[in-house]
Amino acid sequence: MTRERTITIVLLVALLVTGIWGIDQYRQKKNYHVYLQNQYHRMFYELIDHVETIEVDLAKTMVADSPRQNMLLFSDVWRQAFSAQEKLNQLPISHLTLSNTSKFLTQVGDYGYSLTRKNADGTPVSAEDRTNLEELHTYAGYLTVELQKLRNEIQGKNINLAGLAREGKFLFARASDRLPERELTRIEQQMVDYPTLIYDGPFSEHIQDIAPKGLTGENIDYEKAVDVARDFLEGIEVEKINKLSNGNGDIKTYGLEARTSDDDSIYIDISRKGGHVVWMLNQRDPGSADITPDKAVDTAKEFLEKNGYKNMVPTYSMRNDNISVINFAYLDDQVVAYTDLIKVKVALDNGQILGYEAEGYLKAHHERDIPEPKLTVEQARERISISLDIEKPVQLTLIPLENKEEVLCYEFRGDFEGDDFLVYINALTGREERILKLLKSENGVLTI
Amino acid sequence: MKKATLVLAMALLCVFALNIGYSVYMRHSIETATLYWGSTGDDVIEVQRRLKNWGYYDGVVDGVYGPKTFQAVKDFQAKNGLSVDGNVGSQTRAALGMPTADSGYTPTRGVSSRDNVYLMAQAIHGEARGEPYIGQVAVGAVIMNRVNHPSFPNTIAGVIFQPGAFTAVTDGQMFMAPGESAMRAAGDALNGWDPSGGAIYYYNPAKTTNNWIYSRPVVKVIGKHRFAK
Repeated sequence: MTRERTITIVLLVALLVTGIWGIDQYRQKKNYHVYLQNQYHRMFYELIDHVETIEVDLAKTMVADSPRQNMLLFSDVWRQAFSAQEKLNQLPISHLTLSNTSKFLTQVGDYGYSLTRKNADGTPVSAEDRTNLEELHTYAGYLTVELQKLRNEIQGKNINLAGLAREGKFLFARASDRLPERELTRIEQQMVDYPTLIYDGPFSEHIQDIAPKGLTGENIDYEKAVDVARDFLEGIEVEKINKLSNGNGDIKTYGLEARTSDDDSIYIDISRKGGHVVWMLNQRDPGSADITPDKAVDTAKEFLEKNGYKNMVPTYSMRNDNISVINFAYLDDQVVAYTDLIKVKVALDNGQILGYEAEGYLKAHHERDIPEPKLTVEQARERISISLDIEKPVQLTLIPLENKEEVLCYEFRGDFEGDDFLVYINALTGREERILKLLKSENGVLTI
Repeated sequence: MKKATLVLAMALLCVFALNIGYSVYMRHSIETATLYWGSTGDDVIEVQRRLKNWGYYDGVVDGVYGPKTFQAVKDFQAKNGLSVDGNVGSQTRAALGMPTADSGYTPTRGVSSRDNVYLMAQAIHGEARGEPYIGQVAVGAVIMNRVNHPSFPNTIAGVIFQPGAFTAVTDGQMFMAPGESAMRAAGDALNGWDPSGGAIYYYNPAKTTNNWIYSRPVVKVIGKHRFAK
């Protein structure tokens, strides 16, 4: 009797404790869920606000006539589009459902930034730009109307956007949870035909399609690629070379793996056209630093010369643990072409080359007809802020703009109150093209 | 007509004069920062204190730029390869580690291009810890390629935390301490090594249930992952 009673009491207590625990869990879950819902709904509402503003700004550009007003409008388009894209990509919706809309917003923003720059240079909005803007406005209008419809449905049916994050297969998922995703998919399908935008920004359509300029030579076969790899890895005891996947990206490659006698793997990709080494990586992790970073730079330079890259100058280096990564640029008769970039990784224990990356070089390098500067160094110097104390001899350089266009610039290196800067003055137009900031740390100097 | 020209000329002259005035003012405000024999004040105290700490100066730290300070500055300049003039100009100030002009500007702190190494290493570790090293770098490269692609978020954190983009992020596996090889792989990917051939997707054919992904052109196969554009 007493035993049964004890068991009953114990069970009751257990049930009670479980119940309280359950209620607590439920409340916690509900809190999280509501918090998530609030975040998603805020993002969704802000997304609509941003898209509406883009629509209105683009409409205003139709009647704006002064560079000042244009700049205000285009920079606002840029800001709003960036925010809209950011919010859109944080919604708990599959990327596939958003990819076109996301691309539209990125490009509208980037295009707006490009037009802001154009206006700052005093270039008027061209007829082509205007046609683009008209069409973009139409698409922004479409997006606004559709998002508003979706908003009305979400409000009318009391749809919780946090429900989207839930896996649809579970028992309690509501069909209406899926509605926003369905609607966005439908909107997405309309967002593909907006005009192809070609302008001077990093997300411009033509950037993806630039053919590599530095891939010279005949196509090679696999056996030849193996020979190239063996030559490139001279000095390392390679046991055997394995064939890995070919690369079918912008540069078509043979992928190889070299096994060393120490049982390390070295990966190396060699272009099918011309047999150039595109990149190499040795995964060995050096345990100590016995040579100086300066010595590493010399080693890397010798290595490049041995492999036929004679006119490379070291520009920057950075140290991570016991590895030094050194950037080299091509020296084209007194002009440093930062576009033609090769990176070399050197182990600081024994000076072994641990990595090589020449994609920048192979994509950009070509025989150039570099124009004579129209400005003298003194004339360019006058365009530099007097706040900057110029420290180093001025260097002529070729720098890539955001659209990969190359411009001839004077590079001034200077100091402002303990911070170091690089200022690039266009040697033909005198335009202050770019300012880079140098960050000095114990790991080396790098640019931002 | 003539009057209008005159007004214009006057206006231009005014602008010109203002410009010159402004640049003179700017130069002046930088030059005021130079300390020399006879200077007094907090900055001199600071110079004396630093020189005393490093053993160049053995007088009292009194804020008066006298002969002893002058000699100490000259010694400091000679030791540090500066032009030896006994004045504390902007270069000497910089060498002393003092702010180089009398303004509210503070030199940059904390900014680094490696801020995202750890985050990216976590993503790589979560997604590809069993993969060959090169496959880990390739996962990092896909993240970088997405940052530079219009259809994806424009930041590394944006790409990594995009809902549903990476399994290891969705199920929280990425919040482990990354392995040493993931850290190196993240560094290589941030430095521009791209073994993925410019891919923006990858998948494990043995695990994926998404049919759409098979329609993407495969640019590289590394370990268990197919990398696609």
